[in-house]
Amino acid sequence: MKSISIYLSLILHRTDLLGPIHNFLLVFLGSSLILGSLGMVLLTNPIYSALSLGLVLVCISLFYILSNSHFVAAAQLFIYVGAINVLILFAVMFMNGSEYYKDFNLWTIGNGLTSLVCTSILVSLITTILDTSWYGIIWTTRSNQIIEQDLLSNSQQIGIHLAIDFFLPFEFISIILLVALIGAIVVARQ
Amino acid sequence: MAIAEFLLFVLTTTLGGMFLCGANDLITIFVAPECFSLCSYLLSGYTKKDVRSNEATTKYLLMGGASSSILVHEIELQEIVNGLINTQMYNSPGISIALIFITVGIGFKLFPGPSHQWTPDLYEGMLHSWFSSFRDYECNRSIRRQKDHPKMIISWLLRTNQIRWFFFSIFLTCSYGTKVEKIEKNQSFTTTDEGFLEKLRIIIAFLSVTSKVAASASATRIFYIPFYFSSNEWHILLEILAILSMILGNLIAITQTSMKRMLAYSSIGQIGYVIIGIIVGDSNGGYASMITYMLFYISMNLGTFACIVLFGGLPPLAGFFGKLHLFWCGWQVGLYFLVSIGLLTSVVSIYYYLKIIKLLMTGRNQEITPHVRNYKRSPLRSTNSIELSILFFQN
Repeated sequence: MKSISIYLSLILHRTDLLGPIHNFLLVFLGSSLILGSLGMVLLTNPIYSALSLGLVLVCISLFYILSNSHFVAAAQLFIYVGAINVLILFAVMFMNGSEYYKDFNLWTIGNGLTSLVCTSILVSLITTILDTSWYGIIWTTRSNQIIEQDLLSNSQQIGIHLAIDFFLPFEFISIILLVALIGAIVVARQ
Repeated sequence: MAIAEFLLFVLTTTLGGMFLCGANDLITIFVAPECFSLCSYLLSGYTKKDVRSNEATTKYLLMGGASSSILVHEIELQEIVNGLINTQMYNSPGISIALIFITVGIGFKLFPGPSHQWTPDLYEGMLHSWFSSFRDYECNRSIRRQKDHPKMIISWLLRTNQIRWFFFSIFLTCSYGTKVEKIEKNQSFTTTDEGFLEKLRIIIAFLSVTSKVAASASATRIFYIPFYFSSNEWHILLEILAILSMILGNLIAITQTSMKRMLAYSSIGQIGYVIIGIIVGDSNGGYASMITYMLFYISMNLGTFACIVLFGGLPPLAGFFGKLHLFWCGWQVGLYFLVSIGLLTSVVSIYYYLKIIKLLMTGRNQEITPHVRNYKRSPLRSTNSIELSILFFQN
């Protein structure tokens, strides 16, 4: 994936199309993301909702590629689309589908409150992102890092941080996985 | 109900709480509550046969999952805030957004005011299953011949070890107190043995107390170390939370008819007092007041959940001493409005504690008598132990 994006960027640099393609992909992915999430919330058939969730997660993975984080894109595809979405579909298949096709679009006061909260979160996040000086942050954090770090790839940097800075949470997560496994068996057995 | 998984979940919950109190970076502050919450969901759903416990678990799980996702977003924003603090921009909207998110995230874990809806259902569901099974176990010899290990261990602990658990809980709160003192001197933690073996006693007391202690310890650290420069904003936020939880918890508790729900609502009110302690902070020994109040809260809660039919008048008295210290510190710092609301709601809480005692005196239940015989000597001894610990703390 990383090599494909490097080749693509090399080719596009020759023909000076990198900027517009980047913008086009951004707009395209953003609109498909919004459409997918709307479909997930508004569609009445639960299998269609689960499949549009899969579309949303794939679009997020492509966003990660655009932002030059190849490892996270691959991890997103494996874990979210390949494991979590499949699990959701598995659970959805257990439901008896015929009773969910009815229309229950009643606008209650809880819906109004939730839409107010969500809109306020959206507006505040947009103002925060537009008002923060990202350039200043990147400059000050970059000056604190090791000099050779720009020569390493993404996955190597993630590995270094996991093995040195965040070793204790890493080992703790393995205990969480163990307990989750045992807990699932205890809850589900006869 | 096999015992091996039960003990594993209890120990792993404690491990999660310990890691939370000793967390030094943001990732541990996210991972440790995850571990704690996961094990709590499993513990609360341990009795699969009882429908109410299942209901409680589902509600707890959904709320916990939502709050974990909010906390994750907060951690991400916190990284931005770290960058902002590096560039010395203290007044940007990014900091306030991160602050709001983390208050909401911690708010769900601690359950103060607005996010308390799942607490009474959780307490009612779990207490119902565990206590009815304990009552049947104690009073019915034929059941006792069956091999049911968790109930055997816990009822044995209930019957024999009350005094030692009081002392032990005091000891543990002292150890927690030393860690909070280290916050005041901005040191880092090396060992965490906080909030630990007392939880082997009763699962519900365990869940309620541990989550509160761990979450308030982490709240103290989070609000004081990275957010030091914007202290006015989160003072206001925490004040609102404290007022809401005190008022809501105590007022709704008056109207409750079920004792378990009443205890749940009173615990919501207690969290409001604890939040006052967090706001007061390092001036005038605010942390000391919060620790003292935690101590009384722990022993009061353990006493409550153990002898749920017999209150004995002791827990409210000891709790009032802790509240007094807390309010005194708050008054000194200048939070007059908060302290006056706290006083009003304390008066209200006296009302429903006395209602429990009145119910006790009219002698409605037949099961009081074995417990009264057991507990007649213990309240006297525990009064002395708590007064000793008060003297210890004042010094």
